[in-house]
Amino acid sequence: MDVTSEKFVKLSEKALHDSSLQASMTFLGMGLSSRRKLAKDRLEEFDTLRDEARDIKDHVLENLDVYLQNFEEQVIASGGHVHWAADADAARDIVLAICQGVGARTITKSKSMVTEEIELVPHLEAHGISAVETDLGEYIIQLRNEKPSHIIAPAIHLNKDQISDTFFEHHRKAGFNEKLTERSDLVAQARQILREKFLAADVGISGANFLVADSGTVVLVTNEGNAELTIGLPETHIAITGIEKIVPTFEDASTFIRLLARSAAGMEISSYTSFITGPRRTDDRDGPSDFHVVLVDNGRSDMLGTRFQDMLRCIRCSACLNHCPVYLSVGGHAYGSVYSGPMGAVLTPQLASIDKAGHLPNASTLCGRCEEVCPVRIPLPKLMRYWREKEFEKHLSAPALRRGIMIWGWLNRFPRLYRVAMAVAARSMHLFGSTKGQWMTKLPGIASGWTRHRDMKVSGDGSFMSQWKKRK
Amino acid sequence: MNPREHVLAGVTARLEEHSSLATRQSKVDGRLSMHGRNTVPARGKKSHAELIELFTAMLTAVQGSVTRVESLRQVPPAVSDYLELNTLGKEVCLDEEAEQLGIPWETNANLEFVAWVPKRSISVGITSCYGAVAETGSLVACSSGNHAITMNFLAETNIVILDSRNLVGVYEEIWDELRSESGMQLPRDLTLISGPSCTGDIEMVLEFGAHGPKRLHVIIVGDAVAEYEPVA
Repeated sequence: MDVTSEKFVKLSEKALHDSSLQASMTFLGMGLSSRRKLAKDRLEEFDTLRDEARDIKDHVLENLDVYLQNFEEQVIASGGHVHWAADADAARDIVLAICQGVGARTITKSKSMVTEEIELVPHLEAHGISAVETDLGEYIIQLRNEKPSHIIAPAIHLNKDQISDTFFEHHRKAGFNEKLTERSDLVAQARQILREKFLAADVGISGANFLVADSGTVVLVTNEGNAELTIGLPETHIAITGIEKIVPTFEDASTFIRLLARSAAGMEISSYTSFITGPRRTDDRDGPSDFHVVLVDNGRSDMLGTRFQDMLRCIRCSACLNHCPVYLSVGGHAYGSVYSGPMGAVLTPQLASIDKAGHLPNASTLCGRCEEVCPVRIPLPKLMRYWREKEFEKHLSAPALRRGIMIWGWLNRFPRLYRVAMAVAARSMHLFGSTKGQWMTKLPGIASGWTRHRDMKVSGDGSFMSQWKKRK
Repeated sequence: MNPREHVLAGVTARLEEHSSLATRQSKVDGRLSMHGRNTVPARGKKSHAELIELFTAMLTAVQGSVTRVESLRQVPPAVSDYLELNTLGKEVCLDEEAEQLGIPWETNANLEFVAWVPKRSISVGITSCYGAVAETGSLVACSSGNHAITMNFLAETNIVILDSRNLVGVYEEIWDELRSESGMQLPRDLTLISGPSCTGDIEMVLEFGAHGPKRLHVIIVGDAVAEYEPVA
């Protein structure tokens, strides 16, 4: 996975000054979190379902090898093919080989984070196969040659005018000479152009939201209906997904379906939830004659049995992004990874490396909102702390930070000395304060970096310990 | 080692420390043979009349529309009313499954039927369905020898005829119906359709008719209906 997370600090700074991005983020923050809350309140069993979903995923992960073989057996029994990919290269080659095998020239693709992770589309294009993203957001960023800035709303960083410019630039050659100003017209134009692509495609590629082990079924969730057109029309359907997507039965899939759209967008359910089992049957009136599932590991099995295993429960709903003060301040691109927000801060160091992505788990206030809203109760703040520890152990953090932490750690071993130091620090805070004396606005030396972007409240009543004693 | 063995061996190596293969196998077999239900929303446990109301409320909340008629005889006029109210013309494409319902279409001269051609866009597609689930206002569409499921996605307007007896409260009831002694009898594609196609990809504002139908209209047939009312 190609990541540029080492540029996080620089990109964040740029993002904070990007007024158009800031407007989009404000929109997102206000919209999805309140919608999720309303949907949650409408379903009294919501929190119970979250507990059950966590337990189902834990059970699956603890027995994953058996479940994967069960799933495979059922796919084959229903007439499909299963391919196994240890890493991104292998996954790309498998898909390319299937496409070349059927002589595919054009393919349509529905939204899939795994295909972003393994950078599938550039690989196919490099081999002369035209691959069109059909999810509207993905289509927009494909035209702009950008990466998704959000795992379910990939073009959330753009406004209507920017999208209008992009369409005008790219659709002119198809005879669309008018610059559009209405959202509905933009949607209609994309519909018209992409409909032709759907009808002409040789292969349809999708991801999978869930894999039902009991029946070898691939479950796909969309609002646009693009997955259904992607997989239902061409002669070949390839579903490519991570090995952790297994759920045991349709009953278990139901629990996740009840959580997914509510957590993601505050919807009761997405417009389309498709359960795909095998290729077209002998007397069926439509459907592909070839059905392939590509199971991708790419670093996932390394998380099993470790303290990062909880992350494999993730269903990519985006609730943690939508509630994260850091994500909502800097947007997805600053993370330099297709996985952004809290889930990205945990997953990216695993899939790329902590050396490259160390900034991400550090860019968190550990406020805990992500864990509060996670439908499968992933302890995201705890996992981000684990990465910080790993980074510290590997001596990757900045020397000044390491020195500071070591001094603080040493001081902590002598409670009395610590208290004296803290009392002095608390009293001298106002020296760095503004005229009002309420906020520290400029700290000296290495601490100046901290106050360059934010102020710190001056404690008026001494250290925590002295306040504690007074109140007791 | 081939790629399959390589991936599986990697997974197994991580799990071996915690349990034996035999234990894992028996745990999985146990769970799969039970297909037990998890918590099921209480909102799905209601009288049939209330379920119809819930289904209608859920679907109309996402811009779907629902009308009710007492018998199949009333379906053709309900279809023409809908087309007229929405100025959708007279041309309709009738799915084989819907054709087999025995609706007396000939009684209504207002409709013009066009043949279904695979992989072609159509204006109005009339389909039947396997059933529906009230908890989220979802229709259950299944591909088969007499239903081209792509019609549900290619039509600009999808009119779905639902026999009220096939409406259930929660998803699990559908799974039970599909299950037999030899396992689940699943179609290639079973899709829960829970509204017209929509997207929020531009500035998070919901727009309808992204790639699939712009309009989804359900005609529920059966049960005593006070009075038929045309719905736009």
